[in-house]
Amino acid sequence: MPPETRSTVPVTEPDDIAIDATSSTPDAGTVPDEGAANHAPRTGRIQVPTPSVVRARERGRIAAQNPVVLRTEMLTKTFGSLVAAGEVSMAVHAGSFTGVVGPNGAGKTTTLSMISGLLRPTSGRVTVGDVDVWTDGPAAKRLIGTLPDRLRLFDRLTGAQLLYYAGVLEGVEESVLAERSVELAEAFGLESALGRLVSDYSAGMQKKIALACSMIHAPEVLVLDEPFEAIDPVSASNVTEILEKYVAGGGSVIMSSHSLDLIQRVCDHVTIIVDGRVIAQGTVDDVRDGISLEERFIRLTGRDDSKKGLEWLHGSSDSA
Amino acid sequence: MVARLFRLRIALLGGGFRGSFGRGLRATVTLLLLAAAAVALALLPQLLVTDAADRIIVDTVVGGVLLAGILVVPFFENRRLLDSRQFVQFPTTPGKIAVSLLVTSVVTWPFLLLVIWLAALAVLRTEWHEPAWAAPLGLVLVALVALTGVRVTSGLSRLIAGGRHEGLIRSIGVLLAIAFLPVAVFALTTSLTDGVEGLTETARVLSWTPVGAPFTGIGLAAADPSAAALRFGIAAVSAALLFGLWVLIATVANQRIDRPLDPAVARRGLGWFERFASTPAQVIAARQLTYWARDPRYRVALFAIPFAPIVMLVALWIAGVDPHVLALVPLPVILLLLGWSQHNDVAMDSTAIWMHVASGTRGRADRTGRLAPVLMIGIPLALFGSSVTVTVLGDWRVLPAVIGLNVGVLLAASASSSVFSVLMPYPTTRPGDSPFVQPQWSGSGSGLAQTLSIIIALVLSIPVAWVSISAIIEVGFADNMIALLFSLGYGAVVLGLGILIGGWIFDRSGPELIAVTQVFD
Repeated sequence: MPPETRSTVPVTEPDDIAIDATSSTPDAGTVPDEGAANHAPRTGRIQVPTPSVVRARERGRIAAQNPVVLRTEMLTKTFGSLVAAGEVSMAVHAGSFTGVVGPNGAGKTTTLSMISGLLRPTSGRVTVGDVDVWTDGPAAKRLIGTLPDRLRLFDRLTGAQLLYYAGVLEGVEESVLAERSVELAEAFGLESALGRLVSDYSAGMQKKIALACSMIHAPEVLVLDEPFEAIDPVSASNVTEILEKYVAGGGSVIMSSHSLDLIQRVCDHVTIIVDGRVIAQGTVDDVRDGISLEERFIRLTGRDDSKKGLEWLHGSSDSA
Repeated sequence: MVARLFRLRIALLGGGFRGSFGRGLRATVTLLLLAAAAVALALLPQLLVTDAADRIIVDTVVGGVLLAGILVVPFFENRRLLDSRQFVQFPTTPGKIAVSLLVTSVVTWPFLLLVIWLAALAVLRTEWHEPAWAAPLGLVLVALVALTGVRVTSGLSRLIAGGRHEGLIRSIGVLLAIAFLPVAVFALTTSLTDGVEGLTETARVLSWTPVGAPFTGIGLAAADPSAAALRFGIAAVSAALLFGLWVLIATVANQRIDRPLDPAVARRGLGWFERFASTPAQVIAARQLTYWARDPRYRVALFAIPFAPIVMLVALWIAGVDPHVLALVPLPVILLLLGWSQHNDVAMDSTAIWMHVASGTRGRADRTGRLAPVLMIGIPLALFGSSVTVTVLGDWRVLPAVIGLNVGVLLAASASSSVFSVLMPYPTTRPGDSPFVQPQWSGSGSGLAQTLSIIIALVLSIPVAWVSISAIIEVGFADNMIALLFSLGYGAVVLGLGILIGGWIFDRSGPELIAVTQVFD
């Protein structure tokens, strides 16, 4: 154990007391000494006591008993000889907050796009409830709310127009649309920006209006690709809160991220994808199995940052 | 009820004169001018046409057109008319309200002006004095047709459109008036220069319609009483039918209410979205219109379109084609290009096509919505332009065929675009880029898609062009109407098929469309 924690030891010392005081209750099942020394500093000093983690752990245990609302079976996508996603099978339980993690280019976006009906799989099946996304698209898509990564919005509309547009396309009754638009804008802190063109929004605000659009039809499952990218920390906790409430109300979220801290903090279930394949999935506690998610991840992928290389970059410059 | 409404009508008569002195003066002068115009309208044929037989033809045409105008205008503009719904709370039956409204509308300024015109006619036309019963009977019938007709058209308009679309209906009326203004002016000038002969055919047709029959009847009364009785019969039966229809409309209108407009309606204050209902096809249409207004790429395309026919005209003119025939060329070419300009719209407007796919929007709705700007520019342009074309051609009888040709070509080209924009999208300037920037994506396909889509548009236009042009060459009323109806029907069917096929392709290949547009986005 000591060799692995060597880089974090100098940082953790001042925090040890605080962590001991707070993290003993949520992680009763974990071994006390490593819970304190290893995973806690990664989640940040101030956030450690946030109840998000507690709720996520609690929710994980309950949600695992719930019926499966979204299921992928042997979902495969190949681009020529490149396998972007290979036989991805996973299940999202009702009322759960599932994270999909993996290194860059692991196939997270590919998988989520296939789930939300934006990318046709080479083979495999996606079902929401009992509806197959790829044979009964319109019905399934009513149940899914989508936030793709790196795809543009109709950004020459104003925020209010975009929300209305998304709502009508998703089949929301006009009578409830006005109320929902206003409430979503308030929840995401976009009230004052509704009259402006979306193209004038900052990256974070565009992310938030896109999130609002994906929720406007009150879907059963939210498929979010990198929802927290470019969002400032205050808004991020705000968005987390909205998503947690949504999940508490029986909805399910599946989101991708490459931030393991975030996944560990807000998600109750996690799926780890590497090179297009699922290498671990289950509740966060099961997957991390007593150590921090990041370390589990490094162990599973067999990657380590302390590899050799790039020596020419360190220390001296060529001109010296 | 009648007495009550009568008092109201009297009060309304004076309404225009109340208020400031200037306002009263203005109302007085306007009314005097209008009354003078009514008398002049009766007097002018008397002065211009000396022969009594010719004069009845002129009177039939003038009276028929005026009466037709009186019947049509209230459909588009009826704000000043009392409405049967305004009296729905009175303790009486809808039928009684309808009858009272009809009876008391004799004391309104428009009707009084009509009476002035009719009275002037009765006095001035000495030749009508012969069988003494004919002129009074005929003119009373004119008044009855006018009274009931105005009620029916305004009532229908309110029943169909309601208060909600009143503005829309009025704008359509103004648009139509503008579109047909050139033809009207042209018809007037030709009839003035050609003399009475040019009007004979029109008068003959009008004499069998409720609007022209009473005038013809008066003219025929001395020579052929039975023919006159037939014409009076047409007018009388029409007036009776219109009366029955009005009572029916008033009853229906008073017994149903519109769905109340939600005060918190979601589309309030959202620009174009406000003018369209909340269905997928219509919001896509509204978004397209918003984009056309906000994106310079579309404007550049629009400005470029009129140059193509200019080049063609110069070439044809140098080649020595008859200038009259040349007048027919520019508009169909412009409309063909306008419809065809949408053949790559999926790539042109690719920003968030994923939203349509992810929400499971039907391809049909996507296709229909995307056509909105082209049709909203194209159809008024086709109507107005046809009217100008006919004026330049110098023969207004071919107007139906020319309208058919133009609208048909527009619809056929739009149909081709609907299919090709999902079948073979190719890279174009990206949304938000300068319209003069070329896409940074090299590949074949753009040439092929452009060529195929324009060829298909041309091939689809052939039947329309064939039928319309033969009707234009061999001028005949029936042929022209057939050309118009055929072109509209054919265009609608082809466009419907284009939307269905395009929508079907969209439904099947949504993800592929996202992939293709992402390559060059």
